[in-house]
Amino acid sequence: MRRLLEGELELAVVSGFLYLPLRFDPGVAREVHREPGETAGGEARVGVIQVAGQHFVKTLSLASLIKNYGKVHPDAYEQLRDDYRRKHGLAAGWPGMLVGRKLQTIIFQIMPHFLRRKAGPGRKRLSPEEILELIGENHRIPPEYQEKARTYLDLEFLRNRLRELEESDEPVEPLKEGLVTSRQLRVWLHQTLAGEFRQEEKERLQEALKERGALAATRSRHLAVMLYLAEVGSLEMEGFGFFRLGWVDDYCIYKRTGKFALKDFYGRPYLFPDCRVAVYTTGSLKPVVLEKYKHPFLSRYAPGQEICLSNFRPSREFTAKNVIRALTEGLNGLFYNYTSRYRKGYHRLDKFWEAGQTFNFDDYRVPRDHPSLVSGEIEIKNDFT
Amino acid sequence: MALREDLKINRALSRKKKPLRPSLFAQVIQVVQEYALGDDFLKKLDHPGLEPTGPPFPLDSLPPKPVRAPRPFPLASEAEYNLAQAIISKVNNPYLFYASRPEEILLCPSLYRLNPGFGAETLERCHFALLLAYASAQQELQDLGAPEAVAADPEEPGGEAGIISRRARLAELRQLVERVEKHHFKAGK
Repeated sequence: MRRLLEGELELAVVSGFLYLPLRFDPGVAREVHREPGETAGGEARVGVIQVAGQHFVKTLSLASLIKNYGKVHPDAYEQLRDDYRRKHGLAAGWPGMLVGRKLQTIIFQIMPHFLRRKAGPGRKRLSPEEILELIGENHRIPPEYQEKARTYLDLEFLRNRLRELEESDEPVEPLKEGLVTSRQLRVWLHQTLAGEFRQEEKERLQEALKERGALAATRSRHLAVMLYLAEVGSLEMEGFGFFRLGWVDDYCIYKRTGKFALKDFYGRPYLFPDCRVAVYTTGSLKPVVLEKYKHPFLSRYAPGQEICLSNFRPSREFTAKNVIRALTEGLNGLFYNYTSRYRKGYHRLDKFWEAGQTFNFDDYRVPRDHPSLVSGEIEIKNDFT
Repeated sequence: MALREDLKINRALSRKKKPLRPSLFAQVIQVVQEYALGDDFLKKLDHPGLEPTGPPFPLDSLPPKPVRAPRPFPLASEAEYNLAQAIISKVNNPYLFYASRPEEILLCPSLYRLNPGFGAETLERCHFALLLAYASAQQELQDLGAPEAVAADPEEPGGEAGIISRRARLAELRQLVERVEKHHFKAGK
């Protein structure tokens, strides 16, 4: 298609379809010059027309060209969009959503699940306002975010931009029928795409106005917290946390295990250090341990290992429910799946005979009367007796 | 029994894969597209005065013929297609299949007229200008006759000087033929 737009071809436009010069070989020539009454080869001439003595063959529709140009040539499409924005003083991503959809899900749907048990004596899930209030209490939000929040709620600037875009509306003439050059097609395509970009920008502005209108009732302190989270992209509170991966709206969400203990066949306790069980919002939601860690349900002593979970099928769809389930399964796997009586997982706490194993759990073993265990500060998770 | 064997052999042969041989159109359109030939090329083909009569440049400086790999199913614009078909119908001889340059297409008719018996391998390997020079030299040798006949011919115009120049020409032609046969033909033609 790039050759079609950037070359020096002469094309034909008929009934909204683009016709390209027909390429010949003896077979094609035979079909084209066949008399109308001849039937050999069926209806081979369908789609071939003659304009100004030249033969043209039917290709794609102009509507399809406009609709799919971004998919066929994403780089060129993005370049055109950037040029349009630059020309009209619109920064990339502006005005955009305040907080990405994934981040909203993490803060308002996933985080309350892991905080609610410690939020108070009640079991009620925290509301968005309560979550923001809690984050504001636990984290020092820099004062410049208060200022940003006030500016953000000023809708007049957005309304002016929307008005300007609406005033700059120019209807694009349809491409004339008959012979056209590649250059004419290119100019028309760019004008039509510019019209689409204008429409997109208008929709984005309208959406931003709606969103900010809804936030007008929000206390500016809460809005400052949201702006802070949107910019920083990471948070940790009461063992639950997340951090952004690169610049896109993708995150690593984790929950800390805290110190815990497991016992072996002989009832000897092993004290495991804290680690983060995490899922990534990209790809399938498999629970992994972020730190370099060893555990009977991890195959090696290395960071970023998947936890062995035999009955868990991770989902690929990012929803709050799926993330909560994956994190819970991962935590339960580390805490409760190891039993000293069955051969489950990769390793056993009390054995060191597997071929190629380079580590054991002796350094985690503690006496039964370890103060943390006696005081109940650290729980033996697999003590089912 | 013999019939049965025959049938088996024939069927086995008919099942054997045959290499795809490019068409004459594929060969000609490749030259047309590669050298961007236009309608003026047809005028050159039409004009008998432009037909070369001998080697236009020293035979040793002829460029080697490239190994050709025409596309199996070439497509061309309408103008190129019409030009290729016009060349095919105008030249209309089997040597055209082996022409790899515009000048070779121009030499095709003369070469075929002088010697229609060149083999495919020779035509694939040797520039048509070389073959034309070789064929013309052979033709002239035939016309001039054997050297002994030249010496004995009392009717030679120009007298003794004529005989000397004719002998020199004969020697020159012979040398040319031998050189071409030695350096450019593998075995015979």
